[in-house]
Amino acid sequence: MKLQQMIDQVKKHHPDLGSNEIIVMLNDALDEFSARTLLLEEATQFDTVANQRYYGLKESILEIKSVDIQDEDGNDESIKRLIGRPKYRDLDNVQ
Amino acid sequence: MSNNHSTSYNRNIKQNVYWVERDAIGIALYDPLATELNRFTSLSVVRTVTLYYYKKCAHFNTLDSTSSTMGEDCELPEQFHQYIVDKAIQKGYEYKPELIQMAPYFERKFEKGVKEGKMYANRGRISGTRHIRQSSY
Repeated sequence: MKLQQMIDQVKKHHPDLGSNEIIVMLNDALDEFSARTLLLEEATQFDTVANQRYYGLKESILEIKSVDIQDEDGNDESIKRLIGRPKYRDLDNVQ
Repeated sequence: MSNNHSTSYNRNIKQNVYWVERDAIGIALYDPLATELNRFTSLSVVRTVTLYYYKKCAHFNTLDSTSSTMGEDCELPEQFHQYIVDKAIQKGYEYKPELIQMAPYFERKFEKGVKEGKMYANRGRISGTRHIRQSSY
């Protein structure tokens, strides 16, 4: 369904609402739906920086499922998640 | 013989680990035999990291955006589009005190969509044996 069709359907019930208001409502609904269902999955890659420990996450990420890191031979290896965090932080190069 | 699904691990070997805090992912080499201060070291060489994650659905552009177009498509599978519309209709009724009794009807429709969405996500587009994730419908 295209955005225009969605707006038209909402306007049948709420003819007084502007298109922008409806788009904001639709976006709120998309946020709630995707957060509650965890329906959409994606993968992204980035290169680490030498001696940098922390890398910012995109705002669109809801939950990380797994993380792979490339070894010396170019193979992607799944790495384990640490429960909690290290006692000592290394905040060098944090952006 | 090792495989990708091995659950046994050696507590004496160094390995890369990750964790999440303050909207960032931390990656370090974990050495269980080192002193506590040196147990985690940041990676000294450049490595390619792949993140697999659940994401939010992309927003529609509002009309004041330059990339706005009414022909935009929703990123969700087609069968869930109507539930998104139902939620917007529900919100519209919640702003009108004289018609607020209409809101729960559309809320129920949206909740039905959430339930179907969770089932769709758990199914993972495969038939037969599948991974079951604990969830409250």
